[in-house]
Amino acid sequence: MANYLQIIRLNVTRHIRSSSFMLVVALSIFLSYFCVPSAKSGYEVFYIGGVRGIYNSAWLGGMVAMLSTLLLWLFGFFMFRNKLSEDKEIKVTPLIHTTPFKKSYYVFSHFLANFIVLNIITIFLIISFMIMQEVRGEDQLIHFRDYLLPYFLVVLPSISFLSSLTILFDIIPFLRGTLGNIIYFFIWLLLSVITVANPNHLWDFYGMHLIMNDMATVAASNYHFIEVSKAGSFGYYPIEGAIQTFNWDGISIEGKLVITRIIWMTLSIIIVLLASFIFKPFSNSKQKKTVQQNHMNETNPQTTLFDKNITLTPISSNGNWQLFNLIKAEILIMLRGFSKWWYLLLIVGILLPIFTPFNLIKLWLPLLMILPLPIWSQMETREKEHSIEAFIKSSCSPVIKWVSVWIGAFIISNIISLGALITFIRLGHFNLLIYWVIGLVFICTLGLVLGNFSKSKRLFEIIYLILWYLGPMNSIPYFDFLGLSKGYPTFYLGLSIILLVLLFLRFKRLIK
Amino acid sequence: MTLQIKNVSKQFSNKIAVKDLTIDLSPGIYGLLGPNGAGKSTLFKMLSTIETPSKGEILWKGNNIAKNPGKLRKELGYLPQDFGVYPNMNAIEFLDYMAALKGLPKDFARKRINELLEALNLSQHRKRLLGTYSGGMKQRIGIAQALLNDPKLLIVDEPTVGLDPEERMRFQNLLSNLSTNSVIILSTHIVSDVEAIASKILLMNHGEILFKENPQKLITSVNGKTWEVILSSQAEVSMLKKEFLISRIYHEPNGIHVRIICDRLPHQNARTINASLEDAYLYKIHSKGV
Repeated sequence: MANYLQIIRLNVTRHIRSSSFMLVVALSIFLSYFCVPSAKSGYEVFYIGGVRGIYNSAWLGGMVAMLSTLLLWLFGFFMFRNKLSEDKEIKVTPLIHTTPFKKSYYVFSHFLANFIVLNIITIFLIISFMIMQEVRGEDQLIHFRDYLLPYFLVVLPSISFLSSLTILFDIIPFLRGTLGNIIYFFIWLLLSVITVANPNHLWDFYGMHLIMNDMATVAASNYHFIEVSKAGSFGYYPIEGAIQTFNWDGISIEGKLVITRIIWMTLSIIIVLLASFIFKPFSNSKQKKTVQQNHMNETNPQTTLFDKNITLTPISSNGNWQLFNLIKAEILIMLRGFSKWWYLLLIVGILLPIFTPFNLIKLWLPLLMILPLPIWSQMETREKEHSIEAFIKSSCSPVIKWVSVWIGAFIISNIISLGALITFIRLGHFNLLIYWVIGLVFICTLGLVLGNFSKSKRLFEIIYLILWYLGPMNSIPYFDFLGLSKGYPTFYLGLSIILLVLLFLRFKRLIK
Repeated sequence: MTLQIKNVSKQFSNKIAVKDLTIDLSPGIYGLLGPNGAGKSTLFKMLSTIETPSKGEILWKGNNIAKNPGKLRKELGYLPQDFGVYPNMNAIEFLDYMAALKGLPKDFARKRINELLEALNLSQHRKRLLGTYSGGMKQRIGIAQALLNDPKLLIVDEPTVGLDPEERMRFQNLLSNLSTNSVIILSTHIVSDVEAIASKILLMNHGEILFKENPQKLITSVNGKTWEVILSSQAEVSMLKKEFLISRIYHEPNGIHVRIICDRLPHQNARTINASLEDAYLYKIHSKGV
């Protein structure tokens, strides 16, 4: 047991020492400031008909529980989703699994470590909200119970379920990569919709319904213009003048609620048990057979290294960078490694716009733009992922590499969009054509820059999915980088240039 | 064709990895020896343009490689100690990609790739995905990419890892053939590899070069300082260990044979013996204080 706890402790320490953890903590502190605006700030983040509760422990405790649940379900997942795979990447998995430590314990220790770190982040957020309660000074008496009750009832079960998903998505092979990130994003959206659309305890995945509904009910009893059914959503809501407030005393413990939260926690344990059952630490899937075959070939005494009298042709670099060859090679690498279904979908995606009425195209064209996500997200991360950075850095200037990668990704993006581009030209929508191409310029640049800065494909994937959902899917102004609802060509072109300038500044700094 | 390293230092926050290093290297094979943390990998990274020196300059044919890395890269072959490959590419595709990165004309590059794959006994696996290769085969792909552009400066870090003894021997022969026109720097912990092929040994510790001479001179420098004594108990061995540098202990029917490196007679029954390169290496590293 002591060893088991020690391993959990070490995993937690490993997470805490990562830069992403520090980033999330810093973000939490910023959020607490942004989400607890003063009465005269002119905005609110939780909409209940234009009013809000007095900043007492109950209100802020409820707010922090809802906010941390919502945010961690998205950012926390992407932060912790690959911890088991990371062990494999840094080659410690074989070391761990040749010890007496059980496979199920190993999986469970990762689940608990993720669970603990997510809780640490939540606690940081709670402390920040307590500080904000003092700073705003509307009610400076801190009641710990009002912060802890929603934490135990809402956050804890929700984080437990989330931690189990981080493990499950890391263990099932096809969910490990970009496809898993996309699937998770849609699950997150689906759960959010179910939570809002079915306000009952059982299907309340996040556990927010109780708090939100109670806040709205008390608000409606104070201000008759408020409709409970329409109140309760998070976002940036500008308000004119000083906001009206009411007193909210917090939630009370209901047996039914406790039972449903226990159900969700139990479910998370079942998921982890299931995951540990599926988990194969030494799985090498389809490679196993061919590697064994290969060993047999290698032991053939007839053929050994440099056993042949071969003269190597003298060769030298011709002085000009073979940019054309390099772009071709980059395109080949980018298009490798997908399943045949991906290619099939791609062909359908390219051809369909040509034969579809224009009003329908606009509805599903954004969906097509999910397909190249793995290409964009790996523009600057592929070398690190496959440990060939040293080969590349010692062979070629980084600028040449960036240019070739960018052009390669841009060409592929245009090929994928070919059906759409042809349709825009055929129907004379040249403005849409320009918006779309500039959108692709922006996305390729974003992929290159975020990959270079973070050296992880996840940052781009999460930012792209949010942008894509808000912009092309929901037509929220300024987010529609593809310009299907309204174009912002200057904005996105300017943003692309700024991103490129940042990349070159970083390059100059690294050289120095 | 010389590689000049002039007063080069590399500092990472509080740690100095390479300290005011000055050395000129002309064509030949140089065996870089040193304990872990001596600064070998950092030196290699600077020579292969991955890192830039904090101080000093590295000149290749008179050009400062930090200011103009492109000139060296055209003639550089680098095999790092740890590397990967793209698992979804076959050998030809991967080497084609490396050739494009190195700016090699495509047709010539393809010819050389085929020759290298043949020489490295990988031609029958050329169309197989690299993800299915064994460790030794991947190492040979690494060697192939390092030799792709007919390098005039070849830097190889632990190149024989994963190769069997016969493959190691043949790799040594290949390096010897290349060494007439190229500067080859080889880092390894296998001292016998260095002894077999290096024309000069560079002994490195604490970021400094302690010794630059041929292997025989290094061995000669510890003549009369290598001793052997046969002891009867482990307690006696422990006593010697406390006072002297021990290079080897092995058990024989007549007692425990202890090989000692020191300037004076370590034990009344000790007798001088011929020194090996490993003895000389240990003596030099420890006499500078580890």
